[in-house]
Amino acid sequence: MTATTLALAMLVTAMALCLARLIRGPHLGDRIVAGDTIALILINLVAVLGVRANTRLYSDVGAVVAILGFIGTVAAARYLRGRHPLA
Amino acid sequence: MRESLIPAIVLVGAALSLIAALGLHRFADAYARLHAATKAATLGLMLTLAAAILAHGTDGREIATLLFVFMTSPVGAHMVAKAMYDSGYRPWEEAKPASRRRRR
Repeated sequence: MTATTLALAMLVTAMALCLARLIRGPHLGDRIVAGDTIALILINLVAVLGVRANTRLYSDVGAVVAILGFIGTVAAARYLRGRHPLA
Repeated sequence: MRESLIPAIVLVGAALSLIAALGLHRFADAYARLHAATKAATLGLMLTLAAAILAHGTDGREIATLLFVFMTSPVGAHMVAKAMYDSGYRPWEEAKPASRRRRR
C-alpha cells in the first residue's frame, strides 16, 4: 500500500522538524510545545502503522502515548510556571 | 468506496501533521508555534485514527484515544501558554512603520 508509505515519510519529516525545534528552541516553552507535538505525531505514526499492517494490536500504544504525553506536558508547564519570573 | 477512502484520509491526516510541524519550525514566536502545532496536529491525529477505525474496526481503544486527545490537547496548550505568559515571555511584535510608531 503506497499511500501509507507516503504518509509515513511525511510523519517522519514532521517529527524531524519537531526535533529540530526541540533542540534549537530559544525559550523553554518552545521545547515543551515541540515535545507535545512529537507525542501527537508518534500516536499518528502508530495509527498509520496499524492501518498498514491491518491489525488492531497497536491501538494500546497510541492510548498510552496519549496519556503520557499529556501528563508530561502538564508537568513541564507547571515547572515552567514555577520558575524565576525572568526565565 | 471504503478502500479508496482510507488512503485519502490517512494522507490528509499525515499532511496536516506535516503542516503543523512546518508551522512549529517556521513561525516567529512561541505562541504562534503553539497555535500552529496544537490544532493542526490534533486534527491530523483525529483523521488518522478515524482511518484506522474504518480500516480494521475498533473495540473502543481508538475511540478512547481520539476522545482523550480531543479533550486534553487544548488543555495542555492553554497550560503551556499561560505558564509562558506568567513567566514573563511577551508576544512577538512586528516592527511598525515610523508614522504609526510615533503616534503612541
